[in-house]
Amino acid sequence: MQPNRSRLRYLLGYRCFAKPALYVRFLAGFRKPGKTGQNTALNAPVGVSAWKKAGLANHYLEGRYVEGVRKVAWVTSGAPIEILRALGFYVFYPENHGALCGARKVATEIMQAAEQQGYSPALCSYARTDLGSLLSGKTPLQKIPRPDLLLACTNICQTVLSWYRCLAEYLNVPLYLIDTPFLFRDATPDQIDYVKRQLEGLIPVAEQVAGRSLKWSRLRQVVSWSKEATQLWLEVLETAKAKPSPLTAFDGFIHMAPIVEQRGETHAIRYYRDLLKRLQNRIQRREGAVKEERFRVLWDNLPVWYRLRHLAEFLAERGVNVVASTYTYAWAELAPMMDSNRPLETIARTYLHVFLNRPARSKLKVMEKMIHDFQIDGVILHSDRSCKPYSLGQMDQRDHLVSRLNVPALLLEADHNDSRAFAEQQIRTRLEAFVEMMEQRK
Amino acid sequence: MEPQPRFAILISVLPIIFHLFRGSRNCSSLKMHLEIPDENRYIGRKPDIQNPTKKQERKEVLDLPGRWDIVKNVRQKGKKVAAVFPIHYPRELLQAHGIHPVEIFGPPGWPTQTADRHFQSYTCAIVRRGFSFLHEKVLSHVDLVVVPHSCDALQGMASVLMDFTENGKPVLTFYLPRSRRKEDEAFLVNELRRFFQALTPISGRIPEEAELKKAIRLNQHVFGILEKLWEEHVLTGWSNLEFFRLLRAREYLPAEDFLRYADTAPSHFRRIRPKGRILLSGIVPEPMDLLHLLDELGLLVVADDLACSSRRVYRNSDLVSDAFPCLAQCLMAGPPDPTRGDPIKQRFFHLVKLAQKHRAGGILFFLPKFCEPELFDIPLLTKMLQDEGLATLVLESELESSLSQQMVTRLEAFAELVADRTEHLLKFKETPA
Ligand code: SF4
Ligand code: SF4
Repeated sequence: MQPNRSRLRYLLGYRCFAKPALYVRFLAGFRKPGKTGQNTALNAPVGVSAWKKAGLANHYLEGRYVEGVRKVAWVTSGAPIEILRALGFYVFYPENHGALCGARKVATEIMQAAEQQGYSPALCSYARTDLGSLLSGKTPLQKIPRPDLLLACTNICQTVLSWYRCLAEYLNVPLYLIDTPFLFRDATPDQIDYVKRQLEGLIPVAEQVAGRSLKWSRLRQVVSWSKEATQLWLEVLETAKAKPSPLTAFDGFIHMAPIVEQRGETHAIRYYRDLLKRLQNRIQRREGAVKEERFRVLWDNLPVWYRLRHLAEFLAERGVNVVASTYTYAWAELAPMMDSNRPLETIARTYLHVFLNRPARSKLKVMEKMIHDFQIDGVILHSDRSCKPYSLGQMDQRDHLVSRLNVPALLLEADHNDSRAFAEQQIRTRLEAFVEMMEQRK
Repeated sequence: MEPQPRFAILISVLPIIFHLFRGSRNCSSLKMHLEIPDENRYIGRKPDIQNPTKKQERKEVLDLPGRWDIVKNVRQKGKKVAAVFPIHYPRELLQAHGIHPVEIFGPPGWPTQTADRHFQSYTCAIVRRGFSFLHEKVLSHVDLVVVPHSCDALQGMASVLMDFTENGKPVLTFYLPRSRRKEDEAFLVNELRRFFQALTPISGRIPEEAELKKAIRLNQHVFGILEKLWEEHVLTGWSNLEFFRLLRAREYLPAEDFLRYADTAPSHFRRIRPKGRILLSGIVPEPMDLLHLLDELGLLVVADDLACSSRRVYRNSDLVSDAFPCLAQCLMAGPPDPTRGDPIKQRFFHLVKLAQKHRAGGILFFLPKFCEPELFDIPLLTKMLQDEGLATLVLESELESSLSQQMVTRLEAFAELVADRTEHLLKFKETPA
């Protein structure tokens, strides 16, 4: 599209019409609350103000109009986006789009388009959803902005590199890689220096695509916003330490969208401040997310997006509140590492240490700490068929939890986005047995 | 006139009977492989002997020692042994320390019960069989385990080995950067140094720079010999099975022994009369029945893009710099590889160049099931290759002890397709521009 036409479309279509309309819709409450809370074992989830919700929805809305106006980068969920934000990129997360497709129950249909082109059903179902969407044009967002740059960071898995290599080929855009060696031990200075040098290498590449120079003061600002949002997110998650917990991990999966998508923007900070305040009020009222919280459970690994509500209700009916998850926590635990005065070095250090870039023993330690801090009665380890980096090691973790810590732990096989891997009856039976086991320990 | 119903049924089932008969012929030719216990098949397995009168001539090759004979031999000489998982690792550093590397690719058909207690069923067979094999057969014979971080699956396996299994043997990891920029090379130099230092407590010594350079030169010499062997193989049409047995002996033989075999064995190799020429891509051609079947079908593998073979030929003509930067340059120079993050286009160009150079009509991708790095490339890569007129076939295996009937049938159809394409390519090449 011609730059001027794009700009006009952006100004008139988005700024003057679509964005105000979106806010009006949210403020007028056109988005009806879900049925949760009325006839179920769950209280209505704590939300944020309509204004904040609209701010989140606006991110996707802007994506429909942004091409040709702002530069667009597609990035992996663990990628250090601060440099891109400081350069004014519109940042799009294919993984989040995958999760959205999963939650709206259209992922399986979309990923079949990729499978028809030869992508194996053994591959990560986010990747299949994203590639399927690219190949078929199907998306619940109406339109996904075409990228000018791809940024892949291997700190969550090596899969993203394989996936983004395909994207680079299909879309014919540059792919910049931030390679983060896996930390079998604590990061060495060489490893931190390696990541830092790649960040330095990213700057000229991103500047060239963006057509402007990086302002360091702006980068420092973005890093401090990232840190603040991350800290607030941690506080939000820690409200679940209260008994009864005002929050379920299933709510957490929904509320994590800003920390992933809007990290380094002020909206994420406002969103979590608002959420935190509401959660604290709920704690004061001693109102739990689950009406009768009898068991407190830790969830490990990605959520099952297409069965989120179903699982939350099924468990709540049995008095189970899944109060915490390693997945949501992974976005919060590194907040203290960020330092806006030494942006590149601390970005390198922080993004190297993410949960998924550490070995199974270290993940187990995080779980043990969470079991203690959140007073956990049992652990559900979602053995995610198409996410190997998260899932390999879980069998030993489960054995350790059961035999050494004496905590009931269940390995539940499913897939984060592919509903064909969800054996409904078998999962119900196993969950019921798990609840019984916790019951016997009470 | 209406045909008699019985006659019509007979006519319609004839092709099926014919097909089954052909299939069973292939199976019976593979039967010998099925009867060999898995362990022996992997350790110095004897190849198919079609003609007993030639048995003596092939003695040299047939007498390739088994992996564990070598391990015992090396240990008897007081040397240390490392069990090494796929793919890329600095063999030179181990050699300089006097540690002998023996690689673990499977083996095919090895039972996975031990691994099944640690890894979910959706983990690739290289990890599941290799992990079981390591614990049941290898660990007591080796002094350390090396796990290169080639993919998420091996990363998970290394983590379990270090964190949850008490095997009493040190586990070293090695990270090859996923790109080939200056900063990647600088990191690799440091990673090599780290790996080198980590070997000292095991070997009990710090090798001199000269020993390192010697190991680098020795391996570069081996790479040169491998290239020559390939050239000769393409001209002569050696049996794929015998040729690859020799190539893969590099996974466990000391370099000097390998060079001796490479010098003498090929003159005794059986030859095939190729009906078609192909490239072989993937991780490892296991079970080796695959190569036997290719021999039978008259498909000559004229070049490979296998992780166990040519993807690990790191040629570097500049051996003047210091040992670590020199070794880093070597590793950086390897051919495109999906586990190293190389762009798909680069792989495509590399494969097309190989196919053109050797006038191959098709490419066989033989991949372990659940192998993400390989599987991601397949749709785009095969499409690009097909657009270039190359036939492609993708087979996924779980490293079973033999090929399935379905695989045999698909390979037969592929052989016919490739024979046509090879012909076409030959004519095409002979047509003046
Ligand atoms: S493999 Fe796992 S960590 Fe990697 S992109 Fe997929 S879901 Fe995320
Ligand atoms: S076969 Fe593939 S997934 Fe398995 S270890 Fe090798 S590279 Fe990794």
